[in-house]
Amino acid sequence: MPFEAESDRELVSKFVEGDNAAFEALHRRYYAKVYRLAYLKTNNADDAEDIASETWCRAFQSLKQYRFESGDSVYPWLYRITVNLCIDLSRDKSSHQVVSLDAQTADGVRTFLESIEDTKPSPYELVEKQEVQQLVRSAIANLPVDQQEVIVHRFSGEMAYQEIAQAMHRSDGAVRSLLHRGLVSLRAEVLNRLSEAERLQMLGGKEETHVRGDSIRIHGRTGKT
Amino acid sequence: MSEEILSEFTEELAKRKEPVPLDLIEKYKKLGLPESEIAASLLARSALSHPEVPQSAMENSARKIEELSKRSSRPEAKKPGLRDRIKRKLGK
Repeated sequence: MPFEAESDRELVSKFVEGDNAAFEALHRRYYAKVYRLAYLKTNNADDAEDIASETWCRAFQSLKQYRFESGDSVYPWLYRITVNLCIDLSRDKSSHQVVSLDAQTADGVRTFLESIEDTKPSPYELVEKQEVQQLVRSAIANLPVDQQEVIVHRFSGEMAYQEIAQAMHRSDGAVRSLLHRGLVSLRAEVLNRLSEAERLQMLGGKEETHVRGDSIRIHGRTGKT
Repeated sequence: MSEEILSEFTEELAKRKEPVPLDLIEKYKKLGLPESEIAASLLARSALSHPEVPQSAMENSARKIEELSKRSSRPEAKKPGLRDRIKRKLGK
């Protein structure tokens, strides 16, 4: 693939000079990250595809005016476009998802967050389970905006701390501290969701528990006896 | 202190491909990073690197950009002047 080793800055300047293949290289580099960000915000594959596509059309139309002010990556700029489109979409739609976990997986997540080696099913299996990933995405989407942003930049954008600091207009130390708080909040959010779902199911024998717009369902454990 | 070690851990984690790198986990547990923070990092990384992106979604997006690119490279048709428009209306 041509351009793969070139920096975002080099690709942007080639695009500005009229080389559209440089834009295609940026598209290949960041499409998946943009799509997954849109998926995190909408929890819907069709909406994620539409938003990702619109993000890239807007980027194509305005990249020539783009100025690198914070770091060498265009990812923070793409992040903003995507998030703004998701906000516009959420004015028309309210996203709602059902996260369904079996009791063993729910217990596994709880154990994993305390002691990785005692986790059953194995840590590998647990981390790769789609429903666990869905639960965690739903928890991330409910974190305070700055904590959510730093977690996405770090783990999806794979940005360095300095780049995140520039993109978020904060100091390097503030970003490290924010990431720490974000992960502590994430852990608490996941555990709260599991406990709340389980408690209400045990009390009322309900099949599904609504937690902040999402439905958490834990099955395979008896309800009220 | 924990913030510094956590930053270092997530940086090393980004270089690794496996979902649960046990050697890295052991190394940072020994350095005093709480397991709860290691686990939250692993869960966040896994959740945010999924779902798989449909190939068709990426291709459709690339196609739209190609169309935009073609449209933008096509020279705009020159707008007819007043004289031409009058001539056309009069059928001359």
